[in-house]
Amino acid sequence: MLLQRFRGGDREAFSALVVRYQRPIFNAALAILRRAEDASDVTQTVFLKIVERGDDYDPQYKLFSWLYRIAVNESLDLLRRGRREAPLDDDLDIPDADGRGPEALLSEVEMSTRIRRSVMSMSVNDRVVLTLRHFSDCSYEQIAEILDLDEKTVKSRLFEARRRLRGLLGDLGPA
Amino acid sequence: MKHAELIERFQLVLEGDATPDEVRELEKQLAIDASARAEFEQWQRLFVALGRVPQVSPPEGLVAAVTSAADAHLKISRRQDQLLDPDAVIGSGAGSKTGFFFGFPGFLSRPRMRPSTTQESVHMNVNRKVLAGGALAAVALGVALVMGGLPPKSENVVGTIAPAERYRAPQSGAEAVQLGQPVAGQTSAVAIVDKADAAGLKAEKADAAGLKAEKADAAGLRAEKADAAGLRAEKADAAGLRAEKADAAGLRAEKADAAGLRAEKADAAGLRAEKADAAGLRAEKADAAGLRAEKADAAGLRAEKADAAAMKAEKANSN
Repeated sequence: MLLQRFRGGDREAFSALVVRYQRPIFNAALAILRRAEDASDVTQTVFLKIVERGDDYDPQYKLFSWLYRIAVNESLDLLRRGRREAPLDDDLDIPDADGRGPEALLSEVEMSTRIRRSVMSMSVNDRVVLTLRHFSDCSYEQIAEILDLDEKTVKSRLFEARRRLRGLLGDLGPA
Repeated sequence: MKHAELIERFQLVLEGDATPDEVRELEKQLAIDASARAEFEQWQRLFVALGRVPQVSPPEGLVAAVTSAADAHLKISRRQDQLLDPDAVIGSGAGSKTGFFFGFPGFLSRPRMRPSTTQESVHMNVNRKVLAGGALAAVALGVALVMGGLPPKSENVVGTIAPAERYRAPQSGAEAVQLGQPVAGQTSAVAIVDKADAAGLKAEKADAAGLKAEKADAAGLRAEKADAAGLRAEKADAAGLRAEKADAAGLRAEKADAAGLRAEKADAAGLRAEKADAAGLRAEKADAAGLRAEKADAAGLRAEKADAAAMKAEKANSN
C-alpha cells in the first residue's frame, strides 16, 4: 500500500500517491469552492496532511475516502472562514471525449459543459453529492463515510439534487 | 403512481437500485403512459450524460508543487525538532532524527511525526513557569499592601538624613604579605578565587555564545520559512500561469474545433446548394428545350395546316 510504503520512508510512494489522487481530490474541492486556484490550494493541503498526520489514518476506511473527507472538510472550512463562494471558472480544462466524430464530440462537449455549469450553479450540498456520485463514481457507502452521513440521507439528498438538476437542464433532446 | 413517486422510481431503476417488482411495475406504467415514457427517456439521457462528464484536469505543476512543499515542510519540522528538543542537540540522539527527503533514512519512521506536539509541550512548560512566577509576585504584592508596609506612611519616614558611611574592614599591612610560592600541595585562597572567577567568566561567555547561536538558529529558521513560503508562492504563481496558458490554449483549440466544424458544415451546405443550383440549371435547360420542342411542334403543325390548305387550294383550282 502506498501510504504504508511512504511511512516506511519511500519518497517515490508519496509522489505516486499524489499522481493517483490529485485529480479526484482537486475535482471534489472544485465542486465546493468553484475556483480552480482555491481547489489547487486545498489539494496541496490534503497531501501535506498526509505528511503531517499519516499516523492518524485508520485502515478500516479506504484511503481515498479518508483523503476525500479531508478535502471536503478543508474546502468547507475555507468557505466558512468567510470566503465568498466563487463563480465557476470560465476557462476550465475539460478533456475531449476521444474516439468520436467531430459532430458527436461537439455535442458531447456541449452537453458536458451544460451539465457541469448547471451542477456548479446549485447549492454546496447538491453539488458535493452529485460530484461524488457521478463525477467521482463513489458508492452511497463511500459518500456516507466522506460526508459523515448515513446512507439513507445520502440517497435522499441525491434524489433531490438530481430532481433539481433535471429541472435546471430542461429538455435534453431525443434519447 | 404520483408524479413524485414516478420520478423517484425512475432514479431507482436508472441507479440499478430497484427491485425486480419495482422494475416491472414501472414497465407497465410506461407501456400505458406516453408522457411518462417521454419523461423516462429524458431521465435516461441525463444519467448517460452525467456518466460522460469528464473530470476537470488539475493545474499542470500541481504534483511538483505538492512534492516540493512536502520537502520544505519536513525540513522545517526537522529544524524545529532540533531547536526545541534537547536530545536532538546534545548527545547521540541527534543522529537518528533525520529524514529520507534529505538523504537520511529513518525520519519518517520516527514515532514522533508531528513536530507540533513537541513544540506545543515546550511552549506550555515555559508558559506554565511564567504564569506561576507572575502569580507569586502578585500574591507577594497583595500581602505587602494588606499588611500596610507599602507604600510607607509619613510618620514612618521622619528622621535625619546623614551621609552613609562605607564600612571598611581592617586592612593587612605590608608585613602580612609574604612573597614566595606556596608550599606544594597548598593553594592560596587568592588563586582559588581567581580560578573561580575565570571559570565563571568562561561560563558566562559560553552562555552568551549559546544565546547568540540560538538566536542565529531562530533567525535562520525564520529565513528558511520565509524562503520556503516564497518558493511555494513562486511555484504556485508559475503553475497558475502555466495552467492559465494551457486553459487559454485549450479554449482556443476548442474554438478552432468548433469553427472547423462550422466551416465543414458550411462547406457541406454550400456543396448541397451548388448541386441544387446545377440541378436547377439542368431543369431550366430542359424546360427551355421542351419549350423549343413545343414551339417546333406548333410550327410543324402550322406548316402541316398550311400544306393541307395549299393542297385544298390546288384541288379547288384543278376542279
